[in-house]
Amino acid sequence: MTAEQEVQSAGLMQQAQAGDQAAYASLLILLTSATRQFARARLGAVPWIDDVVQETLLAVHRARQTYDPGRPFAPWFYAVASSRMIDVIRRERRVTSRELPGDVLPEPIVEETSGRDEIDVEAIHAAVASLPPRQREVIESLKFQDHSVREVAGRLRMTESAVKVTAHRGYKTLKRLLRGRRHED
Amino acid sequence: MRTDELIVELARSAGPVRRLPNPSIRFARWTAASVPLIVCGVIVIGPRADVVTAVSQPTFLAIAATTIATSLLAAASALVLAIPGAEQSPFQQRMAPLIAGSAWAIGLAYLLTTEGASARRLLEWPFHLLCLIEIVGLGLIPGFALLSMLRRAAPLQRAWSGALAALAAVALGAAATQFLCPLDDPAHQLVGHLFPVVGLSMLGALAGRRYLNWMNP
Repeated sequence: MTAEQEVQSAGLMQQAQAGDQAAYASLLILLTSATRQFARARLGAVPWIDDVVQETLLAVHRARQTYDPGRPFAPWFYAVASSRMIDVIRRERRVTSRELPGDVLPEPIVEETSGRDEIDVEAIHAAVASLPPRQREVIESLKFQDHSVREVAGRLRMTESAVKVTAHRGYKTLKRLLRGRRHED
Repeated sequence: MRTDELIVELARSAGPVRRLPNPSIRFARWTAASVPLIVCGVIVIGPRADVVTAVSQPTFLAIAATTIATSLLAAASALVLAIPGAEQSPFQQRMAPLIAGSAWAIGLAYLLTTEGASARRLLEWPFHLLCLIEIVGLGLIPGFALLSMLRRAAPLQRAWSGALAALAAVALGAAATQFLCPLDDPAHQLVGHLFPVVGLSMLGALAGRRYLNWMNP
């Protein structure tokens, strides 16, 4: 971040703290490129740079009341950005440590399925349709439309944790409904 | 969600915010509320019978001073640490309360060794549950007040912030307990006052990791 950008960012943040949404949008645009440069310089061209950028913007949003205009903006911003970058790196490491590349996957074991264990798509759709509206929306978005948790959280104006909890409750309800149906069959 | 959509969403939801005061002002507020509260607690429970004699002893005053210094430095560090980028130097900021705490421990250990039979006295494990209850009870409200102040900020080092907040609260409770507990035996002060403060501060680190998650409140 250049000295000029720092002065500009500090001014925009002050206006944003007073409730100026246009100034805030300009600040976030400015910080998007600053975060991208910051992350690229440290991580190289990793495919999840946008995750770092988005996490940083969310953190700036949640921490904006802590910025003191009497202090320089850059240390405040880079402390937030570094912390979010470390969190994203940890998350990515966790994910990659649990994933196996496709070429080392064992051959799938194909077993003959009895009619009882076959997936009844219609039954699943019927069970999903009978879920409470919020659970249904979350599960349809995650599983039928292949949206990520973050996308669903953004669309439904929920936190990511709330999406996960709602989905978990939905799965439990679905399990109960499908078990009941199997017993009926 | 794409980044440009996120920007629109965040800008749309952004109203005016009440800026957090400077950490030094927040520290002054916490101290101004906590210290009188602790003094009231001591008066309500009833100070030790020989409190006037005790406060005229230099060792008693030195131990009380290091305990209070540990508490106040921990509170100040926790509040600074909760503001992104405000920490001047990690060593200076986080080590100051630990150094004060070490001075408290070293002081007690020194008194213990000069009085003799230190190992035997320590092995007798002079721990009294009442002291622990008083330390926790007196530190409870200042601790919750500090945690709620930290939650309003953005602690990036959650475990450190939680540990420092717990240290501030229980060290203040331990300082007050010195005016309640009639036992000046350094072995008891170590086992019954200092060790619980160390243990509770470690629990504070765990609590901080869990409850100071300002990104997903």
